[in-house]
Amino acid sequence: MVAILQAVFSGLALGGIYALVALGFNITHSTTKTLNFGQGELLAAGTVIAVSGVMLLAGKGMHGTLDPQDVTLWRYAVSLLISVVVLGLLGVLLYYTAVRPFIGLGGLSWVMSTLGFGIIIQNTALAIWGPSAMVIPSPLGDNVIRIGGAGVLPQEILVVAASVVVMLCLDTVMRKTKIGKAVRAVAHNKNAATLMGINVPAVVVLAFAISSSLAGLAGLLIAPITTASVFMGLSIALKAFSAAIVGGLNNARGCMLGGFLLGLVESMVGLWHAELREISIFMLIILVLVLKPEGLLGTRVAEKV
Amino acid sequence: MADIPTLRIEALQVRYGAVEALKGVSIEVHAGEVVTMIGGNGAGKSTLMKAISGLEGAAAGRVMFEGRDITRMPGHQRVALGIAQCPEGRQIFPDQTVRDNLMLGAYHRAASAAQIAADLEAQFAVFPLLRERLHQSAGTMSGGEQQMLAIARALMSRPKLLLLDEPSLGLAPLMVKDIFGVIRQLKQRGITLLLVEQMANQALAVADRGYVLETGNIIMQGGARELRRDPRIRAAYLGEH
Amino acid sequence: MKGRAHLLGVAVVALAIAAAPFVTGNGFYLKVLFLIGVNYLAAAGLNVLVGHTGQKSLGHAGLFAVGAYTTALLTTRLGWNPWLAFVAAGVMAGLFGVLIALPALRVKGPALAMVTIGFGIVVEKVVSEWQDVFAGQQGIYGVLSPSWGGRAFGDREWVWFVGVLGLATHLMIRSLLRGKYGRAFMAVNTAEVAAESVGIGVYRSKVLAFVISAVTCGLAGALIAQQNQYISSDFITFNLSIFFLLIVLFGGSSVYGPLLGAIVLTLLDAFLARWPHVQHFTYGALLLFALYAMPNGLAGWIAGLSRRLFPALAKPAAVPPPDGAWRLRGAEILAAERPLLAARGLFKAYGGVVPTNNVDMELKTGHIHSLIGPNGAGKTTLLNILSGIVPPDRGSIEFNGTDIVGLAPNRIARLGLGRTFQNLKLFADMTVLDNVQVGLHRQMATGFLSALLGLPAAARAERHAAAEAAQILDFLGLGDKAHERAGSLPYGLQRRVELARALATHPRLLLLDEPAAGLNPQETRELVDVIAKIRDLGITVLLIEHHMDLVMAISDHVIVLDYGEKIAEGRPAEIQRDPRVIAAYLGADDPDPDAGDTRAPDAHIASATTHG
Repeated sequence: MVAILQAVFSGLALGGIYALVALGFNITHSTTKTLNFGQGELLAAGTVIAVSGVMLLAGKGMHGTLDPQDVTLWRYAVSLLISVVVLGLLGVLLYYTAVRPFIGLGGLSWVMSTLGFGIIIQNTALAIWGPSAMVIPSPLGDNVIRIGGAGVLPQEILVVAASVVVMLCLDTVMRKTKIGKAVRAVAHNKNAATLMGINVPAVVVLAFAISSSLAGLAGLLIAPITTASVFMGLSIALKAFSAAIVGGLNNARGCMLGGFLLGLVESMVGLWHAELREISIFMLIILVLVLKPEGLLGTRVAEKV
Repeated sequence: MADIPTLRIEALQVRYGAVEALKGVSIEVHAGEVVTMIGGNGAGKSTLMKAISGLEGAAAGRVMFEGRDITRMPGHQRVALGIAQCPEGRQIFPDQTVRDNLMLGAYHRAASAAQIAADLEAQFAVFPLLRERLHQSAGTMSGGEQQMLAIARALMSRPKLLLLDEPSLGLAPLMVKDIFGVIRQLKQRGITLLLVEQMANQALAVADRGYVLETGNIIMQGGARELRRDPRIRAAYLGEH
Repeated sequence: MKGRAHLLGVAVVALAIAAAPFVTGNGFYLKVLFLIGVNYLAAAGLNVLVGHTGQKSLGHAGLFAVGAYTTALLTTRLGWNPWLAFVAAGVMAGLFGVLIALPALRVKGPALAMVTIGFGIVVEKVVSEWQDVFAGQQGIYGVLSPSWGGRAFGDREWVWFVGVLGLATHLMIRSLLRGKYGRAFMAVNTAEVAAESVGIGVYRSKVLAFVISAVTCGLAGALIAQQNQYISSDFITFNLSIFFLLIVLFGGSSVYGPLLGAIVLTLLDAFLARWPHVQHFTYGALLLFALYAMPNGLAGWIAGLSRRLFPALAKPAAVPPPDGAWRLRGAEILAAERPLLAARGLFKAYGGVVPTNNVDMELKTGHIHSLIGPNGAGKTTLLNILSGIVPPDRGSIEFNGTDIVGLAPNRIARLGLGRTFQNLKLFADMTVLDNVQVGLHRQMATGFLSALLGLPAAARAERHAAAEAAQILDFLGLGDKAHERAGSLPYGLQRRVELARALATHPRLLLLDEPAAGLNPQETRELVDVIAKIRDLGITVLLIEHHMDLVMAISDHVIVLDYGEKIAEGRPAEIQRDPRVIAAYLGADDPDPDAGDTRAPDAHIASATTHG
């Protein structure tokens, strides 16, 4: 019982990460029908940048080791901010170099170009940081908190709290503010949005910036639980995409739901048979695709003939 | 009437790949005028409207608004200049409320909340049903109601020129009557209108002048009454000889 | 390269491969040659999937693993003969190809690409984490390599072996792609709906392409495992999937693309192997920038260059003038004036919009029926329901004695219902002749194996199809356009090519969705004659059209739709006089036409509704 409760907590933390990245996929997909296949590499780059930020702030240089007392909450927060800003800029660069030239061309060229962009980012990061994993202690310490007998890491609580807060904020912005409504208008119909006087290209660039920033945020949130490395991104991004498919790529709330669902499935299956985690996720996607190809909360888009 | 027309289009050409949708169209709309553009399906009417709003690029020719060349201006900036369009097929934002749709119409304006609220009231005076549906999501309304919303949304930008692209499309006959009633009211208020329609009779009944577009060319133009009496119009639509 | 030149090229390459091991004994060079062959093998199949069928896969490392581990496990654990194990690797990978094609039934584009990544990752995790069976990173040693005359393969033999495999693969894939299957793949790639409309099963084609790519990729894996006599999970990485895909994209989709890609990238790989960062960085840059510089790959770039430098080479062979006029097969089966299609109570709603509202219709053989109505009346939706693209919510359709509601569009097409599309759905990158031959897909009896091996029967069927396609083009006055790229023709001719493609399916009933849209008056007049000629062949026509001149001139029977309902039907003259039809088109005449300008505006919307 305790083990199950524990798995639920770590599943929720994982799920929060997937949900954030999935939300990033949803944002670019709903505005441009494209998404970044190099998102994982961006996530990893953002994370190692942030970890280095913490090191530099703690006066440890680029390649030091971080002790728990080095990672104060403000250093963590400042680094997070840096990583989010850098990734936002990378997102803009990604849009201009790898997405915009290929929008509307057949053959999914943008899949290849965003993948290529990701590989370039990854190898640039590899040249700077090297392949080994970097350990970053949680800013909240490692003292396990007992909830109903199950031990929960403070970082796990931070992950869940932070991801839920960010998602609630985004959801509110999208539903209540003028700019959010403009973004939804662009997502629904670009021509009609232009007729409202909305600067559609600017909204699209913003979408890519936000999407990448979310990946950076997710990376630094999970790093104290796993580790930070240049290679950490692929599997997170893949599962986040799976989450988006499960929940519905064109529905933001669906993507969040899918994220948490996938996190829980992964951690529950891991409890039972660790090596079946990946397969179970793959099976879940196939099941969803067979039963409801548009995703749990997604809507089917009719193709015009 | 001032010398400078509100809208002046000179020899405009628009292409979609191999297809030449507009083959050198020239028209003028003066302030306070209601001008209609009639023609069958595929004549290029909607393409013309898109080109005026900057949704389609021009291959050649010029689009002038109040004497200013706006041929290369991005679409969203043209709205700020005062060109609003109520597009073909309404194109409201179905997942947003009626109120949000109307507010998006005023998106580019830096007006005070009170001014916007006053403009909302002005729309309700013309379209009382929108007040009742204010917090309903727009996609749940009937086609005719959506058309009303789309016109009101365009008016929220306080346009100097309103482009109406086939407002009667896919509407039941009674609703078409209502829409043309609204167009008459707009005319009475002195709004400059360019109306694209397939319903030639009604469009010419409300317009001052008309153009007839066929396969990308203007083939007839003149006063609305004269056009209305022209037997060729009937022939073009029903294939009578 | 055509015919003789191609044979010469193959012979030269074969000789080069045979001679290479005698020229150099250097193990490194031989190994590089071997790797070029392996990469070519994997890429040649993947090219069928990616380049021709248009399905992006980012998980082929998984299929490579299936092949590699199949031979490894069969030879080490079960003691199979290495030759047999090699064949088994191909078979096993093919089965997995079916598995990974399953999602293709439900998803397209980016989602499918992501599913394939998922497949690759799952395989990677399984072989690295399920240590009892796959031995993880430690790997499986002692994989048996094939032997010849009692002697295990050395470096030379491996080069020869992979050379033979590569040449055989090239010949088979070339033969396949030049025939009806290759055209079907391209058709699926460019316009799935159009492919279905001529009777090509889109899903079947995708599965077939997945299996072909899986088999060659699995064989490539088996080669690596057997040549190294070792396989471990370190071989199976996402980067390998990317590398295969890169070869295909960089090389280009021509049959020579994978070869060019494999040579250049394998050499680059060998050259950069000392600096792994640079190596991967280069792949990324190539992925990103090859798309800018050479959207059609190296092969496409070279072809374009040679066309510019030697324009004479690009001249297509002349089509022999068709012998005899085209005839419809089985035209005599249906006597004239018999019911051909009967639809009852068809109903379709999208939310609150009802584009098809309880429509009944009856079409008779030998007639030209027209479906008219104002914009938005639901005409195209009705056509889509009849051709199976849109399932109706209610209602029945009996076509030529068969209930066709719920059948896939390609099945309905095979029953003899052809169509064209309002927004042209041509296979724009294929020649006009090829477009028509795609239409003949179902008429060709060639089996898959026969097409793959290029058997004489397949070649004969190809010749017949080409001759018949030429007849059809001649019938529509397109004879001189056979070798032009369909997408490069003027719009009016493109519409006619689509008509030719639909005719090639030998339809009983032909649905034409606004065939005159975008035509100039001259072309529209010609279309009247063309439609009449089609009727005279014995084909029943259902025409959607806005050009009333055309409708009134050729229709035997006109059906009028408005707001999804049938408001009138009858002879053209009756329809022209029908007040409901006139009202639907021109709008009801205002009772007081000239009062409009001066009358006080309606004070209130509600009052306007009292007119009517």
